[in-house]
Amino acid sequence: MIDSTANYDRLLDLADKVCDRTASVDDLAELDALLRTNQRFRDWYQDYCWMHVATKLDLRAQRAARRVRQQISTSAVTPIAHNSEPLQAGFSIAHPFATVRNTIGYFPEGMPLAYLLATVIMGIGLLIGAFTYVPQPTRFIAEDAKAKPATPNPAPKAIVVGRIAAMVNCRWRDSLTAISPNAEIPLGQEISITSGLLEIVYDTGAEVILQGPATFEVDSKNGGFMAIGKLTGKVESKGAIGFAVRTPTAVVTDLGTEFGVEVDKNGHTTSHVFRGVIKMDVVSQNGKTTGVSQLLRENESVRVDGRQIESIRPTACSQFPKMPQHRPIPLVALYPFEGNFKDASGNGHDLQAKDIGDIVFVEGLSGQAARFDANAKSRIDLAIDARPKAMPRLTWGAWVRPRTVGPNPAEIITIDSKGYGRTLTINNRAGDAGRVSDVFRFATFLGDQGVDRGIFPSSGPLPKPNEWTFVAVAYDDSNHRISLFVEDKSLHGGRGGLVEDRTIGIQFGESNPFIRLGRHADWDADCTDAFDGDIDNFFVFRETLDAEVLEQIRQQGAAGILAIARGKD
Amino acid sequence: MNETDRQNLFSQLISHHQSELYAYIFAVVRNWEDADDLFQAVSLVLWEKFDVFRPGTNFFFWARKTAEFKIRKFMSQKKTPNYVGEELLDALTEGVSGIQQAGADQGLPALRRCKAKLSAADVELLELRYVDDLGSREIADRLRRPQHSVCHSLKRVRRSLFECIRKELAQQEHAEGGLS
Repeated sequence: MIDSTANYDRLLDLADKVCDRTASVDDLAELDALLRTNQRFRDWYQDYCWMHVATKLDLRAQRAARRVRQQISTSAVTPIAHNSEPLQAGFSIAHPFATVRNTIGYFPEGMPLAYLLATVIMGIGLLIGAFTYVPQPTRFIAEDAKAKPATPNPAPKAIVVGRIAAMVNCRWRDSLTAISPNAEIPLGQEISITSGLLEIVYDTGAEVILQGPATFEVDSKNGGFMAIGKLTGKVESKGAIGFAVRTPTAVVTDLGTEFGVEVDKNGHTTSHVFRGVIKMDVVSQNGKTTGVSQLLRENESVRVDGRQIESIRPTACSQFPKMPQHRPIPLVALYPFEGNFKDASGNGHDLQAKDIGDIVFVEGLSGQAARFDANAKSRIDLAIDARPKAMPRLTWGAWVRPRTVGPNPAEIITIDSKGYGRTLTINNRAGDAGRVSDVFRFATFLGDQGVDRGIFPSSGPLPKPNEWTFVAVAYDDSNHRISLFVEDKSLHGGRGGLVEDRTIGIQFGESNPFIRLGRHADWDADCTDAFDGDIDNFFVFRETLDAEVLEQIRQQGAAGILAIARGKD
Repeated sequence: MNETDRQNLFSQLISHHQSELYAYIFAVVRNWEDADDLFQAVSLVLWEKFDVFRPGTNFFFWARKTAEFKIRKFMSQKKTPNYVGEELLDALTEGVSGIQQAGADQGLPALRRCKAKLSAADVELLELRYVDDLGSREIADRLRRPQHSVCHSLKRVRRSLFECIRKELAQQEHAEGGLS
């Protein structure tokens, strides 16, 4: 039985809060619930608490040891030792809290046993405690004042090394670490995102795009440490040459190029050069370079596991976060359905109550999704005119999770007004003639003057009940062209799941001036052909997107959609 | 065993196992101050009952079980949402985690080896937190860093320390298994 990584992380987060005295009542209740789950969680929790306690004891013993040494050195008028080795065993057994708490007061006065214990167990602790630093602000300030010159020094300003240039749907691992767009990045800034894209531009000119989940620390003016995650780095200015990405197992030094770096959970590093040259150095466990290094040129990839550099088959560029498009692609609407019906594109196509019929929110591909219940005749109407005359070039799509497949077709997205308008559907037709078979697939149809035409695949991925599938259709009316994209988990790593892409030799027919999700717009009052399932991240672009762009969307979700929409001039 | 030897043995054992015992108490009461008081109260109980302890057996497991009544009483006298409930107290008292199994003999050296792998800046962060007992805001002020950056660094260091300790102990267990 493997417990989920998310629960493991959450458990340790909650334990940290307990140890830091920041746990709320809700946090404690959540911790209790996790601890009740299984023995493994309880073991991890106990071990993690032990680490906190033992670290506290050990560091306090070391601090005490240093002070004892300093006292001894001072009284003997000998140079002060600068090492900080732990004390001998006799010191490390002290009760660590004797000096912080009113220890003696805890034992009843006049009780011989208490004195005995206090003497035997706490005696050494008290001895060390005499030298242990106890937080006392006034004393600290006094000592500090003695050591420093009388003239006050202004507080040094944080060193700023760059700024956040773009953020797309970033989710932060911890709300405390959230950074606002366009914020300056000080040296030492740690960035930890669970999803989304974030672009940093260093003052040197180096650019980094992080793709969540990732943890990246800006630890120098021209570089950073990536503990886990993916990034794309770009160095085009002379001042940025030498930009370095440090990882637990490697240092990737950019010598004027564009490259990708991925660090997995074991710290192993994979790097690929898109253009130019980079240098890879192997780093040992102590964080120092081992002397093993290799130059990488365009389209070369290597993997470093902490001991050696291994050349691997060139990694697909699409595996690394992509720079925003140089040409913005007009996004008309995006509905992530995160417990609301808001349009995340910024175009204000928020849904009103009249537009929505019997929709509930369920757990989605990421966050939440909209559930369509065929029996309840669920629907969403979008006041967006997606007819060919209004939008000759159009791409729409979503992640779709049917609850059932068959025995009737299911209309997912449509503007059809009985004239075979643009529609994405699950049906059991196959081939050019739309011959009916027993197999249901994602399909798209359109037509004119009653001629039923479209793309009815006879092969390719099948819709599976209760599984998410990315589906999109790209239309180009002026070139009489339509493309259907279908991809499910079985196509991971593939080129984009292009099922068919061909020219349709007819003009698209007229249709309704609004988009409907979930069922047909004009006929089917009984909803026999309604969609029964979930939809997440429904999007509409006023453009015919190609396979590469749709692959980026498939990989990056809503973050990718917004990244494409924003582009870069 | 004369009285002096008995005192010395007790002192040695409780000092040796203090991190495990304190951690167990802390895991249950989830509050440093209460854990501190309770640890001292439990130490007294253990001393009172030390005659029952059989040298050569596991002191920590004996101490944990022996102290259970005292812990329950302490918790019942001071009701707070911080404490785990009866059911979880039972489960935490019965379970044997990896570090409890390995014991202080292996746990503390593993912790020190892992701590030695940390950078000076990371150790400084831990000292500010654990020795000076500063919160993240105070640490941020002291280091002139953003608070969220300190929080994340602290989390990173703790996780890395924890994973390192677990790895070290697993390697030791594997090595011992290989030798036997």
